[in-house]
Amino acid sequence: MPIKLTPKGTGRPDYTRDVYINVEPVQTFWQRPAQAVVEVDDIPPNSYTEFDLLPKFNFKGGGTLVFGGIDPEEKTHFISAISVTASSNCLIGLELIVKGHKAQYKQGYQKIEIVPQVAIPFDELTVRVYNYGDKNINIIYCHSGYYSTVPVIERLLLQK
Amino acid sequence: MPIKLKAKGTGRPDYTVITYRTTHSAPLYRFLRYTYTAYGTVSLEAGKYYYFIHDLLPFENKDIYISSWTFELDKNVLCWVLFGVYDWRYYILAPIGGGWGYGKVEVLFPIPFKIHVYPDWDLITYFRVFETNTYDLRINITGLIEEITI
Repeated sequence: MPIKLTPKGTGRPDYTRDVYINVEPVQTFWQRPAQAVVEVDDIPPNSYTEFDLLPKFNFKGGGTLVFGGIDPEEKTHFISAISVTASSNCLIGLELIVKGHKAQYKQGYQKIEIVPQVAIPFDELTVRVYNYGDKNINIIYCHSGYYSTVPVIERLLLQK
Repeated sequence: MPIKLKAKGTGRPDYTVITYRTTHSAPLYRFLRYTYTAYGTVSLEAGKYYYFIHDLLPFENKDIYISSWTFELDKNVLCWVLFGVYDWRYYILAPIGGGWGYGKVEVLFPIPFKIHVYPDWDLITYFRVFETNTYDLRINITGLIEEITI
């Protein structure tokens, strides 16, 4: 005779249906939006463009800088989305470098998106965008996220 | 005699499942969803810069949160798009996002991007297409508006 695992009529009621899940993530009162947008034209084939984003914007070369900037500067950016798009449907690569070390690398055709599950904090960030195609490309890099209005040292003290 | 750990028909109800999961999230009572759509048929010249101003008058002095910003054409043509905020006092464009794409450029904000709408600010979409033609164009912005300020 088979064993009855759940006796009929017993067990806890299923409250899971009452959970409110219609919430939307938004910034809290101590967070402000942070973003960067950089446009670089004429990156030659089999070459790359490189720029520092944090703590300050600094274009290092490879192609022609059209515009670029980060808002605000010298703050820790908690980045929740990064995208880079190119003007032609060719293979491109996106490399994030922190303190001289490769932190993240991703390839894609014309568009690369990095959307981490939780926002990643960056105090220092250098970006390289590779062009693996056979002609010059223009790119737009952008990231968005937030920064904390509470200084790091105060946050550490609050935890004590 | 063995200890009865759990009598039949008893046991604590699992209240954890009715907990409000509002940590790092906000309940919707403070917010209204909105969708802003601009569309129409336009004749565009290849390589020429165009812009569209999204009037923010109804949201003056309020916070708005942008979840997505999409530029779409009815043809699979290369386009360049820049989304931003325009300050009419100083004639400054602060770009928020943008990109290159064929027929569509979409910028998504997993954590909706907060903008406080000062009276002289507007959202603006700058764009270029690289083929002279007539297009059905659509710009779609979705997000939240804060109705109650805390």
